[in-house]
Amino acid sequence: MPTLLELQTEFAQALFDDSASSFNRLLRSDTLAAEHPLVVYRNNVRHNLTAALRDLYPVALRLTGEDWFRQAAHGYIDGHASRSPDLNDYGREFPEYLARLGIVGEELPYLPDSARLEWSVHEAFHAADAGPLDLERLARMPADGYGQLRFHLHPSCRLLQSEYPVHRIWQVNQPGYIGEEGVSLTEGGVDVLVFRDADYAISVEALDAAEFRFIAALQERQSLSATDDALPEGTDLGALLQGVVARGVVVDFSAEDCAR
Amino acid sequence: MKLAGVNFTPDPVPAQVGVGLRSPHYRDMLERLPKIGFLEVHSENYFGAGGQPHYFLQRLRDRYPLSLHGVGLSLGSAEPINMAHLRRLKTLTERYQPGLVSEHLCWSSVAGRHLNDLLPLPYTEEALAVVAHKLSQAQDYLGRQILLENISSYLEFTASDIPEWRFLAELVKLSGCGILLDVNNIYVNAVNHGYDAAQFIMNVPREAVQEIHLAGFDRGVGLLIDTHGKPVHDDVWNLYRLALQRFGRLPTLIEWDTDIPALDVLLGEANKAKIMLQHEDFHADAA
Repeated sequence: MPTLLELQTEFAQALFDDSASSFNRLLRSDTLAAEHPLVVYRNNVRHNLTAALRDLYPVALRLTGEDWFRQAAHGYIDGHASRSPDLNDYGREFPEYLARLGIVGEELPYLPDSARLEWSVHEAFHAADAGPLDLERLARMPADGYGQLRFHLHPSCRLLQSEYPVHRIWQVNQPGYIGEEGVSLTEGGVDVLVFRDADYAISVEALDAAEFRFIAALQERQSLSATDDALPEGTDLGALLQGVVARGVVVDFSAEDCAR
Repeated sequence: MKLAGVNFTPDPVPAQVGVGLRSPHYRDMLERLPKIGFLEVHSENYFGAGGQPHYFLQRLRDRYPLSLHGVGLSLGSAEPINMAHLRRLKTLTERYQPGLVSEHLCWSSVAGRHLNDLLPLPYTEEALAVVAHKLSQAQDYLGRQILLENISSYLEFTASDIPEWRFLAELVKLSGCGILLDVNNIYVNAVNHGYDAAQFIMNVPREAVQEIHLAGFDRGVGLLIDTHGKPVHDDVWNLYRLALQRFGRLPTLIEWDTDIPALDVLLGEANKAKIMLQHEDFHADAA
């Protein structure tokens, strides 16, 4: 009789290897029904992981279609074991997996980046709550100490860069989207900020180069003056800061380094 | 009238009918606040740090008693308990102060690989020791009792030499856990494995059962499949009546997880259970 560990190891193998018939010797045969019970478990396990990928990557699903997506999901599942009891943790490497598939280069070159954006959306959806920024506290800061302030982004903030207009691809593929449906790849690349606003809506917006570098510097918790140094000559830092404060992108700040 | 000191927090889950809260019903539930006894959620759906799931759960928790039902702790795995998972669960129990916390009598991971499904155990002395140990660890860590639910299954192991109901009874003795009796799972297994569902219900230790689950199944090829995607079957309603007669009034949950219907359909099922729960003539103390 196998130990519990041996039995579970064999069971797990049999779930992913159709030829693992030696597992049958561990089963009571008198209750075996017309359909082999392993098939039910194989289907369940695959179904659960596939459903997780579908929920996570609805735009990829729309772009590629049911059949293609299911096949891709199954291929991914074969090569990527789930490492967490929480299905929300599954599927992080799916965009990289898609990048290796043929269709991507020929028909949908933007698919991997579009999927990366979806993973960011997923992370933003579940990120911690924070904010709003305490504006009165900010107003009490001495004006000459502003350069030393370190602003904190909302925990949902994710920055992405792509050679394709993935923000537009994401938007036109949202349920209930109304507007221009065509996206021209000649629109070119984009720098994108993903974050969750105070009403729990996920925002996916294109940034100009200065905004992107500004928010990237904040993400690294740089002080405002160090942030300023990283920006192109003549950038209006005040306007940039005002912009992120107004949108709820910035939720807090620390001033402990002011003395330095 | 003295109101000072009255605790309005609906902490304990009452012996009434509740429904499983799933995201498609968030808005409807919060707008309508239907008359139901409690809500139950899958613990793992709230393992994220924040956002919409917690927004709705917090607001609904303010209005209803709550039961946390875990699908991922894998108490039956031969490997050590997943402390990271247990920590996340504790964060949740501390935040929402649920009246009940439950898990499944199953395993779902081996060697760090997660199958994300409720897999059956061989009912052996070794498995009993493993589950009892991890269950005790989990209860100690959470500082509270866990109810263990009997799962549905599609195969049986030749190694099993303890009946499932006795396996549950032993776990109650060894760990002090309670039992969440899923009547639909008993029925599905009775059909799939050819045993008597009523006998299972009559053999489970009476005082340990603290909650009942009801759901619908689908028919596979020669097997019943526990999909939680259909109304409760008539035979399962009859078993529920038997369970009420034996265990008395208990918190009873209607679960629906696939092809989730409009909230009214779910509430209609809950109402059926409510009528049985309220009108059944109990002879619990005579059993």
